[in-house]
Amino acid sequence: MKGRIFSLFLLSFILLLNFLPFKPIRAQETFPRDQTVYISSPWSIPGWNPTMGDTNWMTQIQYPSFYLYNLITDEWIPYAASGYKWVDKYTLEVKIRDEAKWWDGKPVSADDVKYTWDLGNRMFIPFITPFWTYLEEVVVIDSKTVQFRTSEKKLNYFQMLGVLQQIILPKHRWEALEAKYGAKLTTDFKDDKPEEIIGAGPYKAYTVAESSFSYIRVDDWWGKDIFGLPNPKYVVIWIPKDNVAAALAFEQGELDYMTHFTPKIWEMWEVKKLPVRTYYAHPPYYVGGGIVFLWMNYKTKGLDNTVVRRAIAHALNLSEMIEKAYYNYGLQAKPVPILHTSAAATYINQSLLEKYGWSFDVQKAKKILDDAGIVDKDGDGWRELPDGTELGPYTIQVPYGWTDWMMMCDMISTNLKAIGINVEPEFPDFAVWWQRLTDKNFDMVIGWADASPGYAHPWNAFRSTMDPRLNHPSGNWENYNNPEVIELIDTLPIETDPVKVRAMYNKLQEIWLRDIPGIPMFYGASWYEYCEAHWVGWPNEENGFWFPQAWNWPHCMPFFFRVVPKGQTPKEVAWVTGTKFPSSRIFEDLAAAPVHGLVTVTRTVTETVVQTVATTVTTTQTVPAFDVVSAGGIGVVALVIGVAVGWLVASRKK
Amino acid sequence: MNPLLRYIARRVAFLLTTFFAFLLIIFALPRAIPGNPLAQILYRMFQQAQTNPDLVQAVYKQLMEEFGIGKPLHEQVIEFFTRLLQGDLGTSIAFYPRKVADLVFIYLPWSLGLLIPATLVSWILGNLLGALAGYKRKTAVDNALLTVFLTLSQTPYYWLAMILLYVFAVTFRVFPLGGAYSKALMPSLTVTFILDFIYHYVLPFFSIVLAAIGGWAIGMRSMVIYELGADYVSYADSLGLSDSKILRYIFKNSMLPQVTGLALNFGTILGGSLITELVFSYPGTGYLIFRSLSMLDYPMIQGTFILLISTLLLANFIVDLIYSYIDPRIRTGYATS
Repeated sequence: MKGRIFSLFLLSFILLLNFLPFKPIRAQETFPRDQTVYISSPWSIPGWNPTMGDTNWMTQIQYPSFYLYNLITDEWIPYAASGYKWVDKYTLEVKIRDEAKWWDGKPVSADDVKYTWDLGNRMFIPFITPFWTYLEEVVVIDSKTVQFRTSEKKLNYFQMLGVLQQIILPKHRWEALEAKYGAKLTTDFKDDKPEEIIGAGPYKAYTVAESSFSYIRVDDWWGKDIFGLPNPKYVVIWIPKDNVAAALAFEQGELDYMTHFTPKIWEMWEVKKLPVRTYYAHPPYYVGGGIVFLWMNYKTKGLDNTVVRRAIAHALNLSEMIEKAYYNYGLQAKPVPILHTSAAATYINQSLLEKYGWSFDVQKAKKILDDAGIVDKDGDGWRELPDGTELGPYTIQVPYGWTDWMMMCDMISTNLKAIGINVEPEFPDFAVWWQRLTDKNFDMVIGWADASPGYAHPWNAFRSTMDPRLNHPSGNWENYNNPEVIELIDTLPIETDPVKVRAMYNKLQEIWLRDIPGIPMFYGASWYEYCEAHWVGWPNEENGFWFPQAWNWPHCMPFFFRVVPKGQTPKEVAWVTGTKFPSSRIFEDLAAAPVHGLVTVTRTVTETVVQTVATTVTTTQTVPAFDVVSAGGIGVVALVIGVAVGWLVASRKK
Repeated sequence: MNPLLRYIARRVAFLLTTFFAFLLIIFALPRAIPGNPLAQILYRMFQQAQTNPDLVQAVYKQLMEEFGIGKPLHEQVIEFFTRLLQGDLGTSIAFYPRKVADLVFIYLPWSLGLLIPATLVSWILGNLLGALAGYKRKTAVDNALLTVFLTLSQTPYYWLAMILLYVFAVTFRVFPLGGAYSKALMPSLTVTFILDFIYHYVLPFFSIVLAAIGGWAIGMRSMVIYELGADYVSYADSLGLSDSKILRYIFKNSMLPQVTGLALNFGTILGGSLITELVFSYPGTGYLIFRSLSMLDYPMIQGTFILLISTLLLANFIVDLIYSYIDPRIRTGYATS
C-alpha cells in the first residue's frame, strides 16, 4: 500500500514536471546590475510585431525612423535620414543615410520605405494606414531617396510631417511574412522569437517571460560611428501587477525608470531620502502630455446654453482640484485649448482671454446666471432656465477606479451645487462609461482630446474638440455642432503664411471663448520617475536633456546614450545637442518651396482602401446594440435544460 | 449491465449535459454586461500613441470587425462553438492581440505550481494535526491546537498575505517583494534559478498553507471525534489493540469527506489565487480572470471559465468514481437499486 502511494506520488511529480512553466531555453542568464536598466511598463506583452495595434513596449527602438522627434520641445534629430527636401508644396523627399544598414548587413533602402508604406495601404497598420488619407503615393527615386507625394485634395502638412517619425520595416523579411500570413500579418503574427527579428536599431529583442522581456545592445549596429553605443547593455521591461507593486520595487532600487502614478511622489526624496526624482523637483513634477477637459454634452438640455456653460467655467475651483485630487501633478490650463507650456503658446491671444476668459469666481458665476434670468423660481435650491427647464439633476461621470478623477467629480459637483446647478457624480465601469460616451448618453464627463504638444498643436486640439464631423472616440466628445469652424480646421494644415495662420487661430479662440465647447482643466501628467541608485544621467529639468515623453519610441532612444552607471559622470551627447532643429525650419523650407508639381496619380489606389480611409473621419460611428434579451434567453434556456436533466435523473433514481 | 457501469454512464451523461448548459451560460453572460469591451484597447492606444482622430476611428472600425462584436448573436454562437471544437478560445481583448489559450497555458503552470503543493501540504498537515487534536480531545494539546486552528481558519488569506509581505519583505527584507523569480534571471533548469524560484516561492506558499490549515484541521478533528464514538473503536480497544493502530483505523474512516474536499479544492485550483497573485505579483490565472472581468474581455472570460468549469465538473466526476470504488456501500447500493 505504501509502495503504491509512493509510486502514485512519484508519477504525479513526473507528470507535473511536464507542466513546468519554463523550458531550458538557454543557459543560465543573468542581467548584471551595472549593465542593465530596469524599466516598468503598465502594458502587457503582446509581441514584437510593430504592425499590430498593441506591441511590446519599446518595440520601435529596433527599427529606424527618418528622424527622432521631441514633441515637448518640437525638435527633430536626423536619425536614418541624412536630410529632407520640399521638392514642391506637395512632395517631400527624404534621403536615407548611406551608412544605414539592417542587422543582417543589407542596406536600409528606399525600397524598404516604399514597401512599409504600401503595406500600410494594403492592410491596416496603426502607424501607417491613417496617413494614407493625406498621401497619394510613395515613390522610389534611387536606392537611398524616396518621395512622399500628396495632392491638393489630400494636402495636410501636419500629417505629412508625421511620415518623418514613422519606423521603416525591412522589405526582405516582411515581404515573406506577408506572403505567409496574408491579412493576418497584423493580428496573428506575434514576432515573439527574438532571433528571427531583423531591425536596424541600437537594441534588439533578447528574452521574453510571462511578466518581463528584455533588449540587448547591438554592438555593431550601423550607427555606432555616428551616434556611438548606448551605455546600458541590457534593458529589461518589467510589467508589474499594479501601481503599488511598481512603487514598491522602485523604492527598493529594483527599477531605474518607472512610468506609473504614485501618490505624493515627492515624499520619496524629501521624506524617505531616496535617490529618485521626477522630471521636475517641484510641482507639477511631471511634464504635461496633453489637456484634460470638462465636457458638457450639447445634447443635454440646459448644458447646451452658453450662459450656463460660462457660469460653470467660473464656478470651478481648478487649483484646488489639482492640489487635492491630482497632487499638483499638472498645471492649470488656460481657458483656451492651447498648452501655454509649449511652443504653440505664442498663439494664445491674451486680449481675447482678458475679455472673454474665465477664472474661479463664484460670485461672478452666480451673477452671470442671475443676469440671464436663470434663477431658482420654485425654491428647491436649483436654478431653472427662463423656459422652466431645471438645471439638473445632471451626472458627471468618470470610470470607477480612476481615483483622482473621481475626487475631481466630487469637487465639481460641490462647486456647481454652490451656484444652484444640481450635479451628482457617478462612477460606472470603464467599458460602460465608454459606451455612454459613444452613445452620447451622458451629461458631463472629464475626458481628454488630441491636445498633445508638437508641430500640430494647437490645430490638433481645436480639430479634435470642435470639428463637427468627429464623434467619440475620435473627437468632439461634447457633440458640438458649428460648421463655422470647418473651413478654419481644414485650412490651417495647408496654410504657410504665418500671418494668416495667426489670424485663424485667433478666430478659433474667439469661437471657443464664445461657445465654450469644453472647459480645459489641467495638463495631464506624462508619468516618468527615475532612480539614481544604479544609473545616473536621466533627463530632468536641470539638464534639459531630450525628453519626448516617457513612452515615445524610438524617439526616447537618446536616453540610453546619456545614462551611465552610478559613479560615472554623464557626458553630453553631441549628436543630440548638435544636430537637433525645430519644426519651424521645416515650415520655412516649405514656404520657400515651389508651388507646382501637382501630382497626377498614375495608379489607382484600391477602391476599398480609399473608401475606408476616406470615411474614417466623416462617418458617424454607431455601435450596434447588443441584444440583451436574446443573450438572456439563451442563459435561461441553458438553466432550464440543466434543471430538467437533473430532475429526470433524480426521479429515475427513485 | 454491470451496476457500476450503469452508474458511470449516468454520471457521464449528466456531466456532458451540464457542461453544454454551462457553455451557453458562459457565452451569454459576458455579453449581457453593459459596456463596450473594446474600450480598453482603444484607451491603451490613446495613451501609447497620440490621439489622432484618424487613427482612432480606423482602429475602432477594424477591431469591431475583428471581434465580431457587431455580428448577430446566432452567428456569434456558431462561431464560438466552432472555435471551441478546434481548441481556439479566441483572441484576448485585455491582452490584445494574444490568444486566450496561449495566455492561459503560460500562466496556468504557475498557478498549479503554487496551489497544488500548497493545497496538498495544508491538507496533509491540517489532517494530521486535526487527527491529533481529535484523538487528544479535551486535553491541553487539543485546546491549544483548536485555538490555533480557529484563528487561522477565520483569518482572511489576503490579509495574511499582506502581513507576511509587509513584515518579511518590506520591513525586514528577508524575502523578496514579489514576482516568481528575480528580474535579473531568466527561467531555466539551473540550480541558481531553482533556488531563486524557491526563495520567491516561500511567502506566497506559506500565505496559502497557513490560511488553509485551520479549515482542514477543524474538519478532521470533528470527524475523528465522531469516529471515536463508533462501535468498532470500542471493540478494538477492548481487544487490546494499540492506540496507534486504532488511530489508523479512525483516520481511514475520517478521510473520506476530506478526500472529497480535497478533490473539490483541486477543481477550483485552475482559478488561481487572485489576491495572493496580486499581493505577491505572482503570475497566475487568478489575475488573468480578474483582469478579464474588469476589462470585459469576453474571449478571456469565456476561455478561463470554460477551463474552470471543466475541471470542477471533472473533479466532481472523479470524486464520484473514487467514492464508488473506495466505498463498497455505494457499489452495493447500485446493485440493489
